[in-house]
Amino acid sequence: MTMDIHIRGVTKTFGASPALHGVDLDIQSGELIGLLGPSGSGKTTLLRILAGLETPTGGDIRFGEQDMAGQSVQERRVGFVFQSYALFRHMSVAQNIGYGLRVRPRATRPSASEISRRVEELLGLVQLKGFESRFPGQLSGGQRQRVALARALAVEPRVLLLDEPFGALDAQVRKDLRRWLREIHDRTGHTTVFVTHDQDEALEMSDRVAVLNRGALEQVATPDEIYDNPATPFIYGFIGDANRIDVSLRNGQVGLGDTVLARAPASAEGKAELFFRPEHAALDEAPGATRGTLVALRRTGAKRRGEIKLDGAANTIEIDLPATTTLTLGDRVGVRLDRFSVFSEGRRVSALALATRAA
Amino acid sequence: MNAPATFVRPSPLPGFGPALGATLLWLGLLVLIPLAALVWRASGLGLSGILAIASQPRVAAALRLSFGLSLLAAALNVILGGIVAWVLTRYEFPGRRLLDAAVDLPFALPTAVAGIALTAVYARNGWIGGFFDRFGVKIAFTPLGIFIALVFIGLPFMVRSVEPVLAEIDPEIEEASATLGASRLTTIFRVVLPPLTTAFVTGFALSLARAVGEYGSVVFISGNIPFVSEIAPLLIFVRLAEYDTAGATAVATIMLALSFAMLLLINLAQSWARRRTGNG
Amino acid sequence: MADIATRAPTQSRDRDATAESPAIRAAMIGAAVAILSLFLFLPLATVFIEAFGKGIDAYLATLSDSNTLSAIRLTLLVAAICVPVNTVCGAAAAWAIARFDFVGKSLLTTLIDLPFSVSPVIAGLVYVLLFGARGLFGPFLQAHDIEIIFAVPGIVLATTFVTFPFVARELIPLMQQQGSYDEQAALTLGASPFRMFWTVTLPNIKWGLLYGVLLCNARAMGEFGAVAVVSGHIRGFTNTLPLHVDALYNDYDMTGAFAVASILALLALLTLGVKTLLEWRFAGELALRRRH
Repeated sequence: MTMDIHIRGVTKTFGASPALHGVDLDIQSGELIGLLGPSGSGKTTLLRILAGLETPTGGDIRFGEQDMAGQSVQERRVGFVFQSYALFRHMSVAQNIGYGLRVRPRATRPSASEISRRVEELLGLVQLKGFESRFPGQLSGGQRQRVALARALAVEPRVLLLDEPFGALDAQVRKDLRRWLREIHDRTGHTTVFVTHDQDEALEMSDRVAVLNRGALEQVATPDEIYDNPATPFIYGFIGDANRIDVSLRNGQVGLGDTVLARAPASAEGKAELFFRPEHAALDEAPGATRGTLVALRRTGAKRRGEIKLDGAANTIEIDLPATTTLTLGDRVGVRLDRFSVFSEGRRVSALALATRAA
Repeated sequence: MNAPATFVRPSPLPGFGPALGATLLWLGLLVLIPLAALVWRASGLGLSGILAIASQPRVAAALRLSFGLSLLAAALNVILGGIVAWVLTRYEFPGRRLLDAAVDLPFALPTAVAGIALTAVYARNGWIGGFFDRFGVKIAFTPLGIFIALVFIGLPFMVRSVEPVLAEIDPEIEEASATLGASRLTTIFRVVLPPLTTAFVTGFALSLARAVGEYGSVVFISGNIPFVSEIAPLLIFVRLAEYDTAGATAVATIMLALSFAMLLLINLAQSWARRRTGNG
Repeated sequence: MADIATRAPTQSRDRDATAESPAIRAAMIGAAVAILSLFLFLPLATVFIEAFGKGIDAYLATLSDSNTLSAIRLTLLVAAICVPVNTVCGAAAAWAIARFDFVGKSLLTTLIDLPFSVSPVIAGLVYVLLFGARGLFGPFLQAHDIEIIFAVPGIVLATTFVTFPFVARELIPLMQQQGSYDEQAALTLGASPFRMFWTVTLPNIKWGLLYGVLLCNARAMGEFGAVAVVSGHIRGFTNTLPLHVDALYNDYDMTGAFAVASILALLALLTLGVKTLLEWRFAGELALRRRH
């Protein structure tokens, strides 16, 4: 049994400092959603509020139709995987996994044989058969992580919550476990929320990503949407590489020096910031293209990264170039932006998401 | 790691010879030779001689009293010390630091001072003794009084053994237990307390070892009635005053042997528990 | 500060789900206060109340009594001998154990701790067996008219025995924690061993050393059982302060006994105060795991 989750206007204040202000989020049944944000963004707090480990200062949480206010953590039946795994060191792997079943009140407690059957089944699911009598101190980090997951799944949770599930693991183990966790999710179908500060992890695993910054949601969207059309300057800066140039808004146009880059609502006037990703720009010698000078050239994997000082811009930008480029430092080039967003006072006033160019 | 091929592993640091020499001299003259004197005297008595003295009714009664009450006091300290350690590590409240500092009082207070003070408090005309006297319960000058003094002397050992381990328990394991549906009480008994076992056993052993040999804080409150409230260390005194060196030596030897046997047993249990869970 | 950070409950998270209800908290705190009051605070308060039971004049009279004054002198003398001896030798032992690997190191560490597991009465007894009239060296000492037992040397020896491990057991874990890179650096920079010790080792361990010395001194001045065995209880000559308390108590001079006890209680409070201050202020420069 798994269910959708509705988060409405949730706020949380620690002492005087707000950790969350007014978060609204709907999570669909069976969805795998990643809460992504830098440390201190409130993502773990939100996860802990969902679990009932912390009480929100305001707002409400519903699991399906059921209001969670006043529901204790024990009553919520969530599966929570802690960043430290929080395994019970004095219990064997099997005892850890079966714990949630053993502590049930006598009336609802499965029989001992039923518990051990269930533990066997979960050991199989997390590929740890044969490890049942080991203690956590005798396991590797990745194995502990899988025990923690099996333990959380044992109680047949209504929702699975994971706090930085791969935070403490080596890079290679992380990669394997990500793929593996996604498979487990697809097989078991639990509504799953996981917290991470790692953009690759969020983009690779999630059905949708919710980006949090300073206690507020910046954007909730699919990984493609988040990467290709960031809704805020923060996401441009936080996820992937991005260029930022200062532009001006005048007469319904976005201008850099004398060059007009895009249209904008006529109401917008004054200074603005234009963001684009290095791979969303290309060299273009057509008239009207923004012109600049190549000031540096670096090899980055399969491509080259060219650093260009645009005429009229205060800082340099970076764009992707083919590895075969014949340009040399000091060359004059024209640059075409295929995708970009313009923000004025943090709000998007103009964007180009298609391969057509603004006049 | 391989055993060093030489007596001392080569090191760039100076002063090993003089430092070790001074240590051995100091240890030998002050501790080892005097203790050897005890062993020498005891071996003169022979095992049968020692056992004969140990089975004298008065000696046996004193040993039983000392070890029995020390065990009981250490057991009560598991509960009392557990509560104090819990409160000091888990709760923030005004005066917490004062309480924390005060726990070490039995370490710092000379035992004779503790002895006469406990006697005054628990005697019939004392604050607490007076209260219990109304119900016909005598504390000072009875085994109960000895018990109180042994609890007093052992309490800080328990608190100081448990406190650091309790403070290091990851709060997330308690939360994990709660998310898995366990009530608070279940969490405490199944998740918080089991990892503290080693610390409690250590505290128990330290408190026991101290209590068995304790003299100053007990001798005033005990009443010192042979067969009733005469502790083993006092009996050593009595034998010495009677110029019965053999008797004193025998009692001391038995005390040491029993203490070391108990400590050894506890150490073995500890390392067995550690190996079992694979924890360092 | 480090101490506060590790000891105080963390403020960065609410642990609502695993906190006891206010009522249970209050009950637990009440229980802890009650336990400490019954066993620690009431006896301590009694010392001072009894000491001043007959007024300040009687109190001062006891303290200025010549037997009290000579007990104070003897106590100071004993501490003045055994604290430095145990400090210097404890530091030497810590240097050997914490800085070198040698055969039998763990045995040596265990042996240094041995006096803590021996009853103080037995600590006194072993010296009687050695130096008493019927002891190993008894006839020799008598022939040469040397008094150890029932005299000051016996008191010094017994006190040194019971305070033997304090400095070493504080310094050994501290120096092991710190490692020897600082000292090796000093040597590579051309410092003589003596200079290295004064300019690098000592500054690093000074608070730990003070901590050990403080506890050693408190025990040296307050030791009762061990010195009771070897002292002849000769007032004015071989009575230390704790023995003097005992003597007055046995004379049913309660006020006097508690008056003298109050000096020792003040010493204990002072020791606790400085100890607590060291633990708060210099937590990082004391050994992390400390057993008394």
